[in-house]
Amino acid sequence: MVSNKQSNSASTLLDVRHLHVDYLAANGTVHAVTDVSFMLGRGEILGLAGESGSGKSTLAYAITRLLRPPAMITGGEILYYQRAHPADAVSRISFSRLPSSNGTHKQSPNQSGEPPVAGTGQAVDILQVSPTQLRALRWNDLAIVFQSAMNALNPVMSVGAQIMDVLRAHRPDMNPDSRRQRALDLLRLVGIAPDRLRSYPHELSGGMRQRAIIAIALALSPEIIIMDEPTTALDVVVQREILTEIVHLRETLNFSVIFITHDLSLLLELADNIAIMYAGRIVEKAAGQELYRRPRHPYSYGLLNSFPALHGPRRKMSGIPGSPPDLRAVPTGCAFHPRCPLAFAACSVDLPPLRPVTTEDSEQVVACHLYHPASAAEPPTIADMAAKYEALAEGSKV
Amino acid sequence: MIGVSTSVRASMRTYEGLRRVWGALTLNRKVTAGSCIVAFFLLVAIFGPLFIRQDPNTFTSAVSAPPSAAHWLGTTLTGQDVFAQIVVGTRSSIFWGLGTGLAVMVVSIVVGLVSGYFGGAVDEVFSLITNVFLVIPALPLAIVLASYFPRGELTVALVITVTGWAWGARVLRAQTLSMRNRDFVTAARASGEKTWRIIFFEILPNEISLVAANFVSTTLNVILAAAALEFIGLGNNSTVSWGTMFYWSYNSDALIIGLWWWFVPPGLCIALLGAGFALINFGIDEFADPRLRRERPVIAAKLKKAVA
Amino acid sequence: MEILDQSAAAAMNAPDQSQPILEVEHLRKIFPVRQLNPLGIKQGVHAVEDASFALYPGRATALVGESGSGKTTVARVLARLYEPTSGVLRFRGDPVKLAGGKSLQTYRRHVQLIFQDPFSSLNPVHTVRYHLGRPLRIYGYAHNAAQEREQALALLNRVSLSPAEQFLEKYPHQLSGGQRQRVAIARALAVRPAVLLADEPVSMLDVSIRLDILNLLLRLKDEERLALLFITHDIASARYFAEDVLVMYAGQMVEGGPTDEVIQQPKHPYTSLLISAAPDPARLTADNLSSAPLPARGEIPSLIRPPSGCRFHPRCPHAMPVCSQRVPQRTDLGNGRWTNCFLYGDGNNLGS
Repeated sequence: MVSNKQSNSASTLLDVRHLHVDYLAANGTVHAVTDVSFMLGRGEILGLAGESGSGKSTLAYAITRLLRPPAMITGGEILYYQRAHPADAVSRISFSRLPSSNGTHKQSPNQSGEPPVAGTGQAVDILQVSPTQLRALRWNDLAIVFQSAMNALNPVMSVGAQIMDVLRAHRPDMNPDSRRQRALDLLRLVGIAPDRLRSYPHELSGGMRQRAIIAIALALSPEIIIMDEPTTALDVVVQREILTEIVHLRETLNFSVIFITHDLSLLLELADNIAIMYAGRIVEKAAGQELYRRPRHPYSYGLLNSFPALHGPRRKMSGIPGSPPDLRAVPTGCAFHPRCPLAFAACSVDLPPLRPVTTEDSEQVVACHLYHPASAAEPPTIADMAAKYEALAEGSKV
Repeated sequence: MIGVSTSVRASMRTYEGLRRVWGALTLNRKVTAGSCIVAFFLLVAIFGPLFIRQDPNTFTSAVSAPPSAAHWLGTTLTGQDVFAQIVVGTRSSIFWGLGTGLAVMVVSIVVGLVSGYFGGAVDEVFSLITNVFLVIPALPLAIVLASYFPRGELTVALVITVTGWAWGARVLRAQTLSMRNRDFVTAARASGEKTWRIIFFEILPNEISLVAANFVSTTLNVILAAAALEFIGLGNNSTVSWGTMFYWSYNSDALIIGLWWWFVPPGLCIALLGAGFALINFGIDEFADPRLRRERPVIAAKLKKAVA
Repeated sequence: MEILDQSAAAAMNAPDQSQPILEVEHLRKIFPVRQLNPLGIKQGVHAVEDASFALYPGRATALVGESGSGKTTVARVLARLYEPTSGVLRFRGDPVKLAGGKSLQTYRRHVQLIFQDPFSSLNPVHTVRYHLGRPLRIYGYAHNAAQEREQALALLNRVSLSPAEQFLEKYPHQLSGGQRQRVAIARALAVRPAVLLADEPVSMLDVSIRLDILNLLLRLKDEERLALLFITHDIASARYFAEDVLVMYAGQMVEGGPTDEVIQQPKHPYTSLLISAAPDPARLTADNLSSAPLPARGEIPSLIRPPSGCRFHPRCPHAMPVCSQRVPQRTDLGNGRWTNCFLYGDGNNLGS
């Protein structure tokens, strides 16, 4: 998949701008997500990689407004560009896109006197919509697949009933037969045998449960599916199957995916673009292949080198010294500087902004003082970073 | 050098320990309120009788007198000072109540933890016994037992212990069953720890909050049960306690005569002390289960954005 | 530490010619399942079926498998937290008596286990000093508080938790995941074991600190000549960490040998499946996700009614009729490699 250049606004689906999410606790505020901006194009798979405290899950929940107090969105916008015309949807097989409930373009009812969400590709700020509009957006346009399917499925309802439940809630005009048919279609789409329509979650294996969750997410043909560590609890083989399934479905139905995980090696194979998060901020964003070949931020380099290689020469690797910061005590300046082998004076003082690395492609961005356009020094090469990391590892005992 | 640092460390640990106790007491408003009430009664129990000038058992000539300057809570039918009786009775009720509560806790802990940890036949036997004691109505059994043995506070205490341990044992057994499969228990086994050390030093410290909450509710029940038994006359009628005040006032038809100042004070004391314990219990519950906590209202305007 | 027996009578192909320190032969573990019908056929979870391997001092062996493969059960049997249903455990050549008491205590001094979850393997109400002090006291390495403290500090320094004094009085919730796991390793080292069984020691840690912990274990292995068993589902970290690898599927051992050889040239179909399914960014093709279909689909079978014969046969693209009839025996492929697969022979003859 060629990486999408989102400069063409017609293909932008989601535009997150300067999002801030805080957790208000008795002993202070924790900034879980700080000033995060990115764009998601149609049919794009965006990977969000990070470790604990990076804010990636909080971000996912913020986009769908599923956060509960004490978490609060304290700033930013999330602009969602709806499809202008159903014909935009590319559908190569007979699996039909479900039309919207009032038969026209997906247009929210203009009940509360708010500005009409016209089906002309105009943007709507998800953070500002009314609960009614939000409900219409949810699952119709925006679906989320949670981390452990075992917890997301209702143990006392069969999986078929859960799919049909979603349909009943959002498509009141569908009759029971067409609901059932749709549920069967969905199960077949994700690779579950149709005779499992009446099976309960505990009768299915882990991989099948995760697939059922994906089927439920796809029930209303959403535009965006957010997946929060969907395969972490699964075995490697099942994980591979599910990921292949997701790519295949994406090609067929052309939805976009925000894939959140700590496993960067997965994203390198799966995602078109990858954003790396650290301590609540995006520190680098690049196309998947580009990130693999030429990581720019020292954290990206370190993270990439925390995954031992399956083939190729065996050599001693050392990960990144230290550990991810406690969000209650984030280091000043660049949050990564205490662990960074290439840190210098400015790193502990000034916060580096996200800047494009090259002039041709404004989508490759990195937040690091080493890439300051005004600085005289050459930005470090891979070899430089490797040498610095090794020196750090040699110096400290393991 | 080592000696100095050891004592510094020891005093720091004491300080840390005291801080944690203070933290526990000021957990939330309920706990603070309850603790204040219980602390008040404790102080009265310990120091009260030192300040009483009048002997609660002396008969005076001021018979059936309503509250006045001379007798703050009036006198009984035989001229005994009710206030003095209350204060002295507090000591008896509190100490026997706490002591019996402690005894009940010890029995529940031993039975609950042992049967929960070992499982198998041991568990079956202990559970059977526990269930039997749970099913038998406590108060009637207590009455039957107390009427067989010589009257006195000790009998009351023993009888209540025998009938009151089962509930706590049940609860602790359930908690222990889930604890024993935790990795740190397995790690302790793999390190070669003896079984009894695992039960009392590894598992029990993790159940302290449960034990504390249980102790509080148990003591409450103990005080009520003791008062009930004494009211019936199964306690030691010649000693002074809240329950015996009930006994004597009932036997003297105080209600009919209208000597309200004889039985209302002990009733109020029991109710207040019970409320104190109950408040502590609610407070612990609230802390333990986050869903019961009420969020202090924060920046209401911004809340709209985050909530679905 | 005892002086190792360096005699040339090597049990298996061990380049440093040592005797194995811990061996298990034909291990079988069945967990009983509650019967609804007491008169019916006894059911059980057949967690481990005929496992045999050896651990050598100074060598790391990886045990790779997915969930339900039986790898954790093997570790717990080796740590004698479960007793085997059948099979022999040998420590330094002598069969281990399966009794409790003194012999169990001695065994535990030599074989220690590190758990997967650093958050639950430490008791939240006790300090680091308590955790390290208990094994020191139990096994008589320390007789009073001063010795305990001194040795605890030494242990903390060995696992690179410094400054050590600061960590002694900390509670587990005050430590990060990596620090907790280091404390767990220090606790295991306190009894001066000969064998360390690490059950997925880094799976629950942040990615960037996993290598630190693995490197620590490797350093300790070299310094103390420990025999390490590294249990994992991540075959890439098995390659990084261990000289030898054993692959398990649904309770059966399917392949083993020097790690790099097994990974570069897997023999058993399940091993091939595992390797092709593992994420490998170096293998990026033109369309990002390697579109070559996996050689097999399906999921791990139930262990209560496992498939007959070779348990992989329902999913195996090369299954033959004999695969469902009999369990394949171990076939030596030379150079320390072996596999249990009818494609390569049946029993100890060198197959094709």
